[in-house]
Amino acid sequence: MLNRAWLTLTLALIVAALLFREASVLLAALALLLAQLASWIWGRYALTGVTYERSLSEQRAFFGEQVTLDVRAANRKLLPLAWLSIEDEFPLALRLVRGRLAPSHKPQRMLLNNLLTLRWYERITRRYRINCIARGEHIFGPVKLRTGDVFGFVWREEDNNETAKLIVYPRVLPVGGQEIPSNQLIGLVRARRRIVEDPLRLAGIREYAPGDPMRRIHWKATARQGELQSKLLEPSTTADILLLLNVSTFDPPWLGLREDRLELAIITVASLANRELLAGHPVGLIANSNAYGADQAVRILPGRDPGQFQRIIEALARMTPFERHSFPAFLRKQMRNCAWGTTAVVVSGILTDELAATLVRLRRAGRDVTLVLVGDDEPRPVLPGIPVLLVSGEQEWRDMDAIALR
Amino acid sequence: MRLRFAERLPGFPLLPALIAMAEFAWAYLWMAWVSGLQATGLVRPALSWPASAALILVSILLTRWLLPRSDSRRLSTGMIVLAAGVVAILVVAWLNAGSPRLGADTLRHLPDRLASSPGTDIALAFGAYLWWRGIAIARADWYFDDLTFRFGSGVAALMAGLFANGLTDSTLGAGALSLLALQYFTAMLPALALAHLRDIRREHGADGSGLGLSREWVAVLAITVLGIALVSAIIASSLSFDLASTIRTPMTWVADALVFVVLVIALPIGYLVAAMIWLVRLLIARGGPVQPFNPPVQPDNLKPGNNQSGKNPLPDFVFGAGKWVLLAIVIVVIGSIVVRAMFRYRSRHGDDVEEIHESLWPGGSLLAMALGWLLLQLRRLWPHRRPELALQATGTMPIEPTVRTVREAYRAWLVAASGMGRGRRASETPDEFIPSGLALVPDGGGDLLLLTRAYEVARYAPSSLTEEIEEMARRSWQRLRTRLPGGTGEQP
Repeated sequence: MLNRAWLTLTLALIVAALLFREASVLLAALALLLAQLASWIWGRYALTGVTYERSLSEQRAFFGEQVTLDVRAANRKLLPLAWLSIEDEFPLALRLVRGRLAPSHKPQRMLLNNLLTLRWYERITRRYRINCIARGEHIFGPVKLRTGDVFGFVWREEDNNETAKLIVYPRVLPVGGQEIPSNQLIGLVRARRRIVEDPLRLAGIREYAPGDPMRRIHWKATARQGELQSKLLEPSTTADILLLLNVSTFDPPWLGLREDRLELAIITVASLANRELLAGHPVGLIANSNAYGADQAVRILPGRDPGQFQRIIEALARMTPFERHSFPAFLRKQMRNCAWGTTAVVVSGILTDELAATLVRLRRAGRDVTLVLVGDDEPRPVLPGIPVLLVSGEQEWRDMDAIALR
Repeated sequence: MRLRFAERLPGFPLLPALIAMAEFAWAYLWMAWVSGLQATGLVRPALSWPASAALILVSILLTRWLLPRSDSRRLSTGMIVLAAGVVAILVVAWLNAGSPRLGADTLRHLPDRLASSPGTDIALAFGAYLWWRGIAIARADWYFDDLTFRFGSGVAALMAGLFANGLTDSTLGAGALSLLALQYFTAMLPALALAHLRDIRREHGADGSGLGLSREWVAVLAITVLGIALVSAIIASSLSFDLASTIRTPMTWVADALVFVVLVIALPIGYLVAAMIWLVRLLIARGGPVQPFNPPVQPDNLKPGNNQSGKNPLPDFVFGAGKWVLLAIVIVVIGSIVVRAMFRYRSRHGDDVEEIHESLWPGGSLLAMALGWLLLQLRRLWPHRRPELALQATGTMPIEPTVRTVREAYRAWLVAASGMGRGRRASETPDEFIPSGLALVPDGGGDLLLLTRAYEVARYAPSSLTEEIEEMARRSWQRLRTRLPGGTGEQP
């Protein structure tokens, strides 16, 4: 209605009403003019002073937790807004505890629609609870604001490209069953096998026995006891554990994705990393996939500093389900750059012939390799010299209490 | 609690009713114009406004009621309506014929009688038209785009009808024409807004929470539409030199309504309060003699010139002004209650999500803004302070506790230094005073330096002082104090 033709017609009517001294026509024409004026004012100033904010109570959450999403729309002017339509993009994988989402034309996205009436100098906050039921880096936004006059003649749109990010970590479960063996002779953690003793790890003293080297003599204890005493040393091992995750669940990978199997593989990696770090082992992570927004494959070198688990679990949370490199070739390349003595724990949902050959070749080259095969229907393969551990529960990973390495 | 008419009035066809009232406005204009033509020669519209409005509204309600019913029910109701229409035609024709004795000729002469009564024909035709339009409007699912087209065509029909009625001998007066014009806009504009609202909700899959017929939305719409109607009426009246009567008439209505409110609300409350006072006094007297209950206001006292003393102790203009003040207070109180009920902010736990409304007024509220403005004006009227007073005022400006501690510690050091015969000169900066201070406490150089630096930050730095610096300065002074001759010095 707000166009030149209507305005011209209205003014012509006013002139005609004045000429013919028709008060009723003048009244109607003025009402029409004022309605147009009101629409024009709304069209021009509706979005002035209108702000939209989105805030999450937590930036990071574990699988199954709930976080609060506050959306705030404010109108910082005297002109009220009869309607304000807010279309905020919402990740498809997450669910609202209460409230509904509308479909979006964008893949993997939904729309959180809010329709509000904002009075003068008013702010409305809507509080949603979100169920974190999917691992990943979830992006909220961008948002489209649309408003206009109360009659619907004019409207204005504004896109706000600010986004909020929520990282949902994978499940971390206790790991039971078999241990991951380590073959390194000297390291930081006490080993059960007494092959080589660690000169830095003193277990006690004993009487000198002929044949003990001079450097084994504990001189202070000898002075105190009055006779020669030898140091009793502990054996140790450094299980530098490198977790290698294969995100492919089909061979060839373009056939599709077994989401449950991949999630179970990721949970297994996270749980193993947690257990080994708590046990004092340096743990690293390499995967043939990249994080959201990154162009490099995930690569975290072994370490055991307090922030290592955070780095690993965050990388797992943000990992995309698409393979960036063929895993066997990727494995060969990564192991070339890996320190000697590192225990490579390969976690995979499939075992292809090429992967099996690569593992055997690595073992023959002296590498310490363990295969963790994830999936309900996977038989235990026989790979010479390579321990194979199985993890099942592909369909029940949401309700599992522990990871069992068989 | 959110006001939702859709919940309060389930199934009420608000949008069709508004559209019908808008369409009815211009249709009625044309019917009135046809009624006033020489061929018909009527002095009033063939069908009155209340009857026409009732007819179209009943048609809408009946149609809406029938829509979800079975076909047999629709058929039977349709037959009843048809029969009622036929009976109405017969009765009208019979009444127009002077209600003759019923006989065989009554039906035979019906066409002649209808032909000789144009008013009846127009009324029946207009009634049938309204009935048909009511059904059509009630059956349609209205979208905003449809309504914008109808708004344009309706404006054209309305203007043409107004011109036709105004320029020829019409059965409607100027006031009625204006009211019909206002009826069109006050019905069609909310109908457009409502249709637009429904379109938005449809677009969002009807699951976007909020933006129902909330009181906020209704308030914005009502203020806008009524504002348009009022402003256009005032401007049109002023341009047609009829402003005084236009303004006076609604003001009289408002005054009458307020007097009614006073009589209905204030007087019963007065009686109630007096009765309660009497009851309390009775309880205090424990059954003893009590002054009988006299109502504070007797109906006879309200009559002019009938007060008890026989003479009004106040001048008439004071008495009259008092009444208007009382009336204004009543208006303000009632208006405040209504506005507060309509616009108060609240936190709501809705169907889906928690919703919190907050005011963003800079001063917290409109009242605070008004008070702030008033204080500003009063301050402007106040005599300006002299410069030295301004300096004093600056000196008493509130400072942060951390800054105060550091400055007091340094002043205490200056007092101690002055007591030892080497006070800081006015022209001397704190940094320049360090060598003199070192001469007084040779082994406290580090603490003196720390205290001086902290004081410089507290005195001159634009940013606020951290608690670490405050603690450092306090400890420096404590250590410095012990090194002073005699270990004296003020505790900051």
